[in-house]
Amino acid sequence: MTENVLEVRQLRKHFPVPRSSGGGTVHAVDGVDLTIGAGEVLGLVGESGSGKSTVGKCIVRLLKPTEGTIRLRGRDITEVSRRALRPVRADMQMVFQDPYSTLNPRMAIGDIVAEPLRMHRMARGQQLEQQVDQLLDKVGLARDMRHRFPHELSGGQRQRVGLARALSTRPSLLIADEPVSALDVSVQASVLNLLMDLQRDLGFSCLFISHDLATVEFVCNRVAVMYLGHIVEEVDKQELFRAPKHPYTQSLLSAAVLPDPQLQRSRRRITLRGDIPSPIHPPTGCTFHTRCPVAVLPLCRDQVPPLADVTGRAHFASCHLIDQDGTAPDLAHAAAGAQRSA
Amino acid sequence: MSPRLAVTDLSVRFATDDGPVLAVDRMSFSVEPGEVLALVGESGCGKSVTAMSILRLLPSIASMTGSIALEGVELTDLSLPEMRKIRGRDISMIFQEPMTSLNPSFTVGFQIGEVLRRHEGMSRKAARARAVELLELVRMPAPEVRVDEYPHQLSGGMRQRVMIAMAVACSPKVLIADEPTTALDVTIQAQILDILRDLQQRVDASIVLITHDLGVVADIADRVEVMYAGHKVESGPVDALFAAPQHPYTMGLMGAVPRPDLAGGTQQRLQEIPGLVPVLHREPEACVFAARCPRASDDCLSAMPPLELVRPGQRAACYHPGRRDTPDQQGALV
Repeated sequence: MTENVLEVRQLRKHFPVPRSSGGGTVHAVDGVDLTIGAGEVLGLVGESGSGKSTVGKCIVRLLKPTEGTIRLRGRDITEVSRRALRPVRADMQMVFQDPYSTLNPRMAIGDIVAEPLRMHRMARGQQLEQQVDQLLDKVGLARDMRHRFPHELSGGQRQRVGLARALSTRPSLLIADEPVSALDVSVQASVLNLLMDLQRDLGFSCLFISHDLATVEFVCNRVAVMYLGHIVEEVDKQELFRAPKHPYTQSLLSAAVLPDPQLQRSRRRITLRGDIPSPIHPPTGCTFHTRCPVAVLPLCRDQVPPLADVTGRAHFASCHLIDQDGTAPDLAHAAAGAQRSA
Repeated sequence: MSPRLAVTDLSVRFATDDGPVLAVDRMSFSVEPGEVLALVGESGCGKSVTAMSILRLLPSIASMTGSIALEGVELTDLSLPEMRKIRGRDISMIFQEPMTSLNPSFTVGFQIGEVLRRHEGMSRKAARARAVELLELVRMPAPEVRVDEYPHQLSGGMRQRVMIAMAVACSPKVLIADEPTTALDVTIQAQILDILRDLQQRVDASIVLITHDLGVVADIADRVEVMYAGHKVESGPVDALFAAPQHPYTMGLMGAVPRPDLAGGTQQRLQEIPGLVPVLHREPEACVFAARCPRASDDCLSAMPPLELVRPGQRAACYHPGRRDTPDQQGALV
């Protein structure tokens, strides 16, 4: 049996709101289950405030989870002390969104890439130098870049340095939090290509956090969609784009603009009302019911829908309105009907 | 008849510590009433500088030459007080970052009303009432409540609605939207694009949309101008340009964006454009894209190619425009 690289069970992260700001609790993550197999790339998609970045930070323990368990290659790391966590960190690394603030401006590129290897005593001396050279080769940077400083590099080059640093310890899990969002499109393309090449060559598992469905479709095998601290749908990438079940996923896919005028203008559009509600007072029942065009009251308001396999082929969705046989409400159709009657 | 807005031979130079920088070089375009023109390009291509020069909002280190005419009236000849009368009334602008473009210490109603009090001489009371109507127009939930709130009390999407309400308060002839949805989530972006489309039909404004997002262009634009390193490298009607891009840079941009393939097939690789956007100090003596172009030949290094008609309505500044049937050495372009 091959063990899962990452298993997250019932992860919750609540932040207290200071009394001076009105008090209460932010329910950033509210019961998330995730499993990532060996060599698998799981996309975690959601809009701002959905809790996707908090999930990533809890997994690498940059944040301490309020509840739940996190297992890395079978080992429960939820309660491990900071000291004991250090060797674990070599096995899970993170790439951040902003390549400008996540590299120490006073360190040369070579030292930035070498630091994890030094910290974890994985290499020294001549061997360390060699490994840094190899890492720079791997991410497509010239070896003489090692003497340069972050401010001398472009955004794309910095993100390559971030990747080299993260992969230096040969982690089994890489968490990439919006790694290309801050880059121009042509640069995004080269960083995404690189990430995919490296993943194929090194075989690490990856949690790819993004707000951009097109990017996720390109990079991932499986996709989990988050809304207000919950996973509302999780399935194989092809299936998600072919037959999204959850009304939120349907509207998210419909709202994403396609770079093709004829296709884009002929699509049936679902425009959601309003904004994502406050995670301090999340809606009762299904958290999406306040914006859902097909919500049925009082059912959706009062009862929390479970995340269940709706097709029998590992297509998980949490919606009361999906039938036993997996038939989901068709929002584009419902929207067109509403327009006709209006 | 003169077009709604005509920009002719616009050049903008910045005097920096590292010498002069040519941000925009002899850029020309025009917009007709009710038309949405998209200026597309990556950071540093000069699209925002172009927008700022239309409103004469450039910093003091910038110098500008060329002509900007609003319905035949030359704006570059106007004095600053005269220009102030144009801004917000005839030409208005929506900025990318709605938080930093709204004043945190005034209510949104006051800020929307300011435009009306200034340009239309409305009383405070009348301006506030009109502000509520405008907020309704941009589909702000509970406008009577929101009108008395401060920017920090609103979400990003709501702030952008306030910006739009301010921009359309005087039914402008030209609305410049600089990355109006870039900072927003996709579901909110969809709402804002719907509002822009709706308003443009109602007030018959011309929209100059500045964006890097080809999806947004495909959704809302009528015509497209692709910019690279301060130059227009391609222009054309949106359908033709997406169906058959002529300039290698436009093709590169389109190949660089992952497209959700609804048919279920999966893309293997995205097209990369190697290298960086050059910083120009003077008029280029070679094609500005040559250093990154897979098709560059000797003639590309001898002079910047002029913008020429390559297909009906579609122009490109390239010596080797159009589709290629054989892949080049990088196997990239089709």
